[in-house]
Amino acid sequence: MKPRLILLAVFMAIAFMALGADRTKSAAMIERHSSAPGAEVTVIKGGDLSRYGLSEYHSLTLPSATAATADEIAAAVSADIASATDREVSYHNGRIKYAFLTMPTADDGLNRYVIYVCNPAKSGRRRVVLIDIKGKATARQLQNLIKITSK
Amino acid sequence: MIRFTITILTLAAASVTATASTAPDTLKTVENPTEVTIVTGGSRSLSLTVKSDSSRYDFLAENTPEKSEPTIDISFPFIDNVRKQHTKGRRTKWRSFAMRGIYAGASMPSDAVPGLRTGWELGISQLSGVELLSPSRRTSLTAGVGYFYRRQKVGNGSHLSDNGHGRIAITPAPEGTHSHSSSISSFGLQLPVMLKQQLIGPTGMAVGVVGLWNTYTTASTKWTDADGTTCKRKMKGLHQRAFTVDALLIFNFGSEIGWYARYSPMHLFHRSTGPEYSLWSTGVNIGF
Repeated sequence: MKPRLILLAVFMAIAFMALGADRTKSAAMIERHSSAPGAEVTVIKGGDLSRYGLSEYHSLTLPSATAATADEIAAAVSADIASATDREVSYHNGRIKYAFLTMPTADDGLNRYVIYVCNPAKSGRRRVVLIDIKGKATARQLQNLIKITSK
Repeated sequence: MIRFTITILTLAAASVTATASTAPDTLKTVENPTEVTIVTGGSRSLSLTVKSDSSRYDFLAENTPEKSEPTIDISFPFIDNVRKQHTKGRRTKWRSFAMRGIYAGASMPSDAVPGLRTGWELGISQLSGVELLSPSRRTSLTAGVGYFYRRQKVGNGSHLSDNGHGRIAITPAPEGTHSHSSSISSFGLQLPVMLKQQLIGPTGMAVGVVGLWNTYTTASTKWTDADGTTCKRKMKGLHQRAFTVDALLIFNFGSEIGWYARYSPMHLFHRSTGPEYSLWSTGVNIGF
């Protein structure tokens, strides 16, 4: 009985680890900081998204992230930049300002994108927006969909 | 004649920009000025205006701050409706999670049972679970399932003896034998229900009860006879309680490393079928 139980526990642990293997580092950051004070999380699945060729939309907005949190998220985005198949990244003072990343195709065959924006906020803090998107839409279609304003 | 030396201006400029550590230098001497303006190059500009008439000077300093970082905003056509719904008022939210609370620590008997010593334990308190987040997202109620392993040692001249029919007891070690080593091992599933509160940033605490489903419990005892023969005996089919309850307190410093204390008031074995003891345990908790 004991070996069976231990085997079951080990398989369960492996299964849960495997569930996380398909995720981007940015997606992990969204989950990790989703309960941070002031965090705004938007999760959309199905519905209107299908009109735009998308199936999942996860976003995290930290309106007043500390430098440490912003750096942690930027590090995760940097890791995703390294593994992205296509990338559009802009920097300001050596810091990633904006990133549009085309990530390797997900296990379910859908395209996956990561969008990152880091703006200044009050008292040296940062306003961080991190978006993880999955869908059939191409990068060009998605870029046409996004409205970007710069001040 | 009114003489005005730019040295003074650069001193003034230095005081305005708080870079007084650089020595002032005479750049230019202007005679009878009505207005002098200095603009430094680069992104930071300083203009110092001197207005004078025949009787007095007015010093006007103006510091143009460093060119501010541009801001970028992005929006999606499908997000506006969601935002509107979202800003009507935050609601409680359910979410699922995996792998929280990997822990290891020491377990100490709280009852004075002769021979029972400090043991150790490890496990994952929440291999998977669900979480109900409050509107503020700082408080949550979690329920999950994990597993545990606990090993309690017996020593100090005592050992575990088999009283037949799955009953065990801690008894003094027989004379003429030595190197006694006995332990009670318990493995099973745990079902924690925790109330979690974030205190400062990701630092927080959680308190709750943990149901333990004691699926497998064994005892083993090992000794060496007078003639040097090492003997080992494993006792199975013990009369452990199927379900016990612990109280758990966790303090996490940041979102990863923390400290936990656990109190197990219920005896592992049914009455008169094994040693009766409660436990305190404490150790390190990873993942909050």
